Amino acid sequence: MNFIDALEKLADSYDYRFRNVKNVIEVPTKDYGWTNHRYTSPLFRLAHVEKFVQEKFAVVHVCVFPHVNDPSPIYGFDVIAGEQKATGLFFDLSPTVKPTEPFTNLKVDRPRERPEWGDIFSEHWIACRPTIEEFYVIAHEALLVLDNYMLTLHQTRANIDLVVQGQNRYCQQQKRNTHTAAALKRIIGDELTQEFMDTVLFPEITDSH
Amino acid sequence: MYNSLKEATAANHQKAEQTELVKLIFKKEIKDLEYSQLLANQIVYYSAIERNQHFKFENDLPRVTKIIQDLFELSPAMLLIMPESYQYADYLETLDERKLWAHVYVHYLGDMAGGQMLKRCVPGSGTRFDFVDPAGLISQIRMNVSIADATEANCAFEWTIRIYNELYRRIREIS
Repeated sequence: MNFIDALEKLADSYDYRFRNVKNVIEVPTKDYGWTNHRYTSPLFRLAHVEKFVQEKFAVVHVCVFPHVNDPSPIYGFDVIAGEQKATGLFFDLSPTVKPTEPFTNLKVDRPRERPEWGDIFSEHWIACRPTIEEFYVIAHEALLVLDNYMLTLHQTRANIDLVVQGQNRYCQQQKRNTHTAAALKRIIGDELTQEFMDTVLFPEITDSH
Repeated sequence: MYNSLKEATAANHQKAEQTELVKLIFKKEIKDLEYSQLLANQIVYYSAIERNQHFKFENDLPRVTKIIQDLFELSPAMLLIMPESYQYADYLETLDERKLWAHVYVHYLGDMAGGQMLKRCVPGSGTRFDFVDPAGLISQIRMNVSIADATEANCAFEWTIRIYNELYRRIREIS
């Protein structure tokens, strides 16, 4: 398998997990020309699996936002790859109201520097340019972490305003990632890019009560 | 008295081959989802061997990436990692190089010796059974073990049997 095939499989694995959560509901999502599945359930407020696959380029983006009274971190996994090479892989449980506990023992080679807007990520975040072998190991670990993460969701409660503030800040900072915007603009133009980022990728909570 | 490690572990080897899970594989009746769960559990303890600081693998002996690749090919399913697999991994992490070779002997030699037959019995491509130089690796493993490692090799078989039996029980429960 090359990166493109592997990313397709990975996106399907994520999608399968969310689709099979008890009482899950698929959130209607506008068609931007590639696969975006979003779900809501009693376990999480919003889970999003984005799969963008072309012949020689693929992106998988996964994000899970806990409910607004849940202090659990935000699960995030992103990988961008060509057929033979990955440009970047990012994996984190990003904190909202309390520091994230270590979630993996994986150590990666060639770590990437934290971007200027990246203070939203936990100290344990993984960011690298993996080889295909490293990709398999990290992706497998990310799925296992997700399985464990889902078991811990909605087990404790926190102040809604603080969680909303934390989740919104995560979205605001993510939207400062110029690479995401630039890549999207090349495909769907300026206006739809803003709309996609605001409503699908990183929607902020405007009314939580 | 036994004359070789093979002889000293023959009884447990046979027991492992007669577990319901292995019988299911040999009958080519194991389903994608069931085999995926086996792979997911094997990744846990193969990883423990391959990341052991006392141990340096040579050539293409490491299997973890290939097992994950096989898993990706098969199933997007939720993975059922059993406590027994983690317990075995914890145990492996306490071992020195000498004892670890006994576990390599059981698992990796098994992958090589029975690999081509197993590859035809399991779902998917079974890339984990592809070795560039199996004969070379087999002699490398054999050079690093002896009859003195029988206790540890039998321990590896016992863990394997325990994990296989528990996994079989659980996958039957689910299906």
